[in-house]
Amino acid sequence: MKKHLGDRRLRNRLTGEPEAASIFQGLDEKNFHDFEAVWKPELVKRAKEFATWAKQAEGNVQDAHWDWVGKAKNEAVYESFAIECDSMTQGLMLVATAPHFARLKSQHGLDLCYIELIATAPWNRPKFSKAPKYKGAGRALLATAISWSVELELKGRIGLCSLPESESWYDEQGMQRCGFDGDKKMEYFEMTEEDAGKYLNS
Amino acid sequence: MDRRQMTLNLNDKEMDLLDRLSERRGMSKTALVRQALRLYQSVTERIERGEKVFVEHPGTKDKAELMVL
Repeated sequence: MKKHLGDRRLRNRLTGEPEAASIFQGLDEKNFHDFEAVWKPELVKRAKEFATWAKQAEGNVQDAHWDWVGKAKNEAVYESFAIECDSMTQGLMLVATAPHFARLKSQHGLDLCYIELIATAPWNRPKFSKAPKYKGAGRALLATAISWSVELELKGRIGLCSLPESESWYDEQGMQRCGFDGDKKMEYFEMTEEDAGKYLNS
Repeated sequence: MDRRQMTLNLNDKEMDLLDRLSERRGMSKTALVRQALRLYQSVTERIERGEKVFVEHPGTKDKAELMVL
């Protein structure tokens, strides 16, 4: 069931003004429709401009194949989150319900929240659009994952595997690189309890 | 998160295990039981999908199947 978690502001890069946005836990038919009817056609179209998946990083569309709806409907496996602004889904995130365990030496073996998928809408991405619209959707969702981790008494610890195109963004968010994940074939990142606290307070 | 309360009856050995694990993992007994429930749910889902759950030794890469009753 979709539940309103709180409000944030996203900066409209086109006007320079902040706009009210809402964060939800649980996706509904509107979110699925926004993805299938608006996000997906744009992602698929742009992805076709590149010869290989590696090249898709140049357009920030390496996630064009992600099955948001199929995965989000599997509520036993994923907690789903969305941020909405201007009557449109501006960002989506899936967090694994199953416990995952930290790999960083300082917190090795402790439980953390594992982010399975996280994305901002294609029109908000600098390399996708010449005039990206909203700034802050990804950051708001990452903060939501940290808050969810705190809610579960995991002290804000989170982890995820990053697409190559997004690695530098996670560096900027203060997440630590923990090496290449051989199963997911992507770089694995973690945020510590201490860094999570700083992130929420920044 | 909406919450409901229940009474959990454990014997001494189980309570001791709960105490030690919650201490070791740095979380309350309630949080530990919730995490254990999530883990059990995940394993059950996978078993029901016909998947197998393994634990792998980091050095030898030997795998042992996790048997779920």
